[in-house]
Amino acid sequence: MTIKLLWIDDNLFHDLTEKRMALYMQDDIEPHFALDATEAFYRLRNEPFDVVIVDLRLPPGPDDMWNTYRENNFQKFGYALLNAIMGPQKDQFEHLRETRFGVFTIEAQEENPELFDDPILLAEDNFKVKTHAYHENAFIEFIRHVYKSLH
Amino acid sequence: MEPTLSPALRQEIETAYSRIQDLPFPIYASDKSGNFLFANEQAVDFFILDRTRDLSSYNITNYYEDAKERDYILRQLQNASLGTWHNNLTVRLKIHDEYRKIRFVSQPFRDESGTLCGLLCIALSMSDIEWFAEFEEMVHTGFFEVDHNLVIVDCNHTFADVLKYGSPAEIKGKPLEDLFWETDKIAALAKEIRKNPHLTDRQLKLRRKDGAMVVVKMSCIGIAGETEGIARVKGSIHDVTFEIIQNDLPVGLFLVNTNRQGEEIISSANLTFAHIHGYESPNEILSKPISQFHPNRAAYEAFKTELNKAAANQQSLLDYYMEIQDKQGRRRNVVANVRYVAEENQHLRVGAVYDVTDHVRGHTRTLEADFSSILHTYIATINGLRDTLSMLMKAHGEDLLKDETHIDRMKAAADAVRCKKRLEEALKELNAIAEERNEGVEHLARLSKLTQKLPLGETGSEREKDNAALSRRILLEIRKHLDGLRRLNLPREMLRNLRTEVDEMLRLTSMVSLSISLDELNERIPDFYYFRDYLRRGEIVQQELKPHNLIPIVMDAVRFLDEFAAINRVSMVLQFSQRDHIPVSCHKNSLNRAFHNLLHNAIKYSWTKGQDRQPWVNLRIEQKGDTVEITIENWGVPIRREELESGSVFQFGRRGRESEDRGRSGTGIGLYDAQDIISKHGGTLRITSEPTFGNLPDMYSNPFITRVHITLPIAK
Repeated sequence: MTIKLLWIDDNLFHDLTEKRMALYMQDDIEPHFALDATEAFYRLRNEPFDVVIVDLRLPPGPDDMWNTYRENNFQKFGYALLNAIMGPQKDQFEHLRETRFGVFTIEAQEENPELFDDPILLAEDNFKVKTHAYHENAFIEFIRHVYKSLH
Repeated sequence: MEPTLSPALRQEIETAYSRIQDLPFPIYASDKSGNFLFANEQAVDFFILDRTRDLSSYNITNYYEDAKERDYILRQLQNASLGTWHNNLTVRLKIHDEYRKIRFVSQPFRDESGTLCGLLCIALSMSDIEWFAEFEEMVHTGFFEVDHNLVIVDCNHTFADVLKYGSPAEIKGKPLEDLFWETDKIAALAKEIRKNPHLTDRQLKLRRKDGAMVVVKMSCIGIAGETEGIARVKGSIHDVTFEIIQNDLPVGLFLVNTNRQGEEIISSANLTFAHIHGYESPNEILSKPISQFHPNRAAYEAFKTELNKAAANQQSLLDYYMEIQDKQGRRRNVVANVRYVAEENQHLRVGAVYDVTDHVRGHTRTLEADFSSILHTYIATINGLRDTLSMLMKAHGEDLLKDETHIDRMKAAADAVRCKKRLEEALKELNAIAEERNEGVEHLARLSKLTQKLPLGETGSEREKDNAALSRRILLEIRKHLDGLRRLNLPREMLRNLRTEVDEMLRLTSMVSLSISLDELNERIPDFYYFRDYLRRGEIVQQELKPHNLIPIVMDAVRFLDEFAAINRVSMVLQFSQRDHIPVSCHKNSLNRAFHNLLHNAIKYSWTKGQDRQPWVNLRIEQKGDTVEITIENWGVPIRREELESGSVFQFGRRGRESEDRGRSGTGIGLYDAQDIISKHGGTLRITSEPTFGNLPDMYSNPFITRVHITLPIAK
């Protein structure tokens, strides 16, 4: 059984390189990556994934669909992405019905109460805070946990 | 005639009418709907009635200037006690185009159920004096009269109210001494009135009956007597205690109303509120939509959400911290206390705002100072790390060095591919022996698989760093398996050779990673330096600007960025003579920081599609009259047209849409800071970004020519 993973984070090629490499070494994980909300939106619209891990402070990417957020100096395009695919545009994402979502971010859970409300309804255990000491094995276990989590 | 007016009631009215009809006033009786029942001679003359017509064909309502006023009078009399006269009803009638002020003295008549059915009225004409005297008791202005002994001889209810006395009678006869807060000022005031009998809006402090002070504005007129200069003083006062609080309190007070279009506009504001928002007077800010002072729609919505949340709990929104944008677009930090006015369905709110900008700036300064110290240490550590990486590269990759700071990655990749081939061949050989001896077959199968996974050989691609990192992980895993094989009955010499190949590949991939990391560090270090310098900046004080030659200031920035330009393979073309002397009145460090930042941007965002020439940055300095014009031009990442038109590229913390192209880092502070510095030097900074030849204006995937035009006044 392989977990098809999409990890969305703009730092994947900087301080997350080693965690990303650790994923390649796992036999049960097939990792895919996206660097901004636009890239992620179209990847998610075009193919199913078992697990999606999102960073909240994402850049929007080039698409104009984020303009309203952009004009208001919004920073959390990870939240905007989740809100779009589970809220107003959910009809385009029917194929993600079985997908489990997780959030891996530098912010605290208390700063993002909207993640746990409709339409995102994120499970509290699927939220993990990035810290400099967060080891790659713990991160891989987090992905496996998200995969096993209930909707 | 009203059917409800019974014969008995009509008889009753007629009897009452006949008792007074000879009085020398217009007297008439009417039913509830206003039809005349009886009228004496004076009434016929007063209302100009035709004696030949039936009296009941006239209706008193038709004589009212405003017919609704009669309904009001009827309502008053409905509740009045029976058998008594009521003389407090004054109206304006219109009789044949002539307006007449009337006081009605009326007696109501009711049927058995108590419903008003008829009225007996005396219509008394009022003089203008009588008419306006009525208002004395209706308006919220206190009227008073003082005699020559400075004793109150007359006043109205409002005057008594302002001073918290129960009635005018209670205050009459009191000397001014009892009513003044500062009694020593009475004599001077009396003297002034004698000199100038007309005083207007004089601010006075009075003493209320309960001992508290009240501040009033007084206007008065001194009236001359027959034998003395001023026999009495008449005047008016109004309480301005709250006006003073409203105007002199160093807090912005406001009232926001929702207009018919649903827009929330400022309906009332004090001077402090106007000043906080960049206006000179409260009048200038009235009718402005309040939302325009929030920095953006989201901030406004966030404020409204919090206000409505508080209102839902019957509470005020207290100590709400927010950023506002004044008339000139400057950001200010304020704390607001706001609540909706009761019974206005959230269409009217009142509040107070405190300007805490200086307080916040003070805190920010402290934070900036602290953070710049940390950043300074961090930069030192990073620089040390960079040197260590550089030394490690030189120590372990001498054979791969291309120059002082770079290794030849092509060579490293080619060497690694050769190692991999040797490793594969050696593993094949070892595998044959292992199968023969039935020793470590599983280990070797895993080793072959891992070796196949090794992503070696790609150079210059974006995956180069990834490949090096993944290869290193795989090689460490291979090394672990090789160590496991040492315990088995397999040729030691072969295992040693395998280990040597793996170690060599580890060295090569590590050198590639080191080299890439060094490039990354070198690219980001100027950002760190710039940000530290920004945090440590001092305020530019106009008086402290000193004349300096512009050329060395620009050259300092050019030299500092030489290495960065080299790493980015960008050449800097200087189109000015370094021997020139162009004096500008400046704050040297600030100006240096501005050029550092603008040049750094030009280098960072440079690229071309052509392979024949590496990207370049043109730097031109020209003297034009009494100004110097500096132009920094580069080909590369565009700035979108709308970002230039709206000026958003100059906003603090805002980066252009295209600026993150290929992971370019930045703070979003540089252009804001540079423009601020240049404008504080009396200069201008303008940016253009245009497509290169033949390309479409909105095709931002093509390189654009971006030019920064700076002008500075030349010092005399």
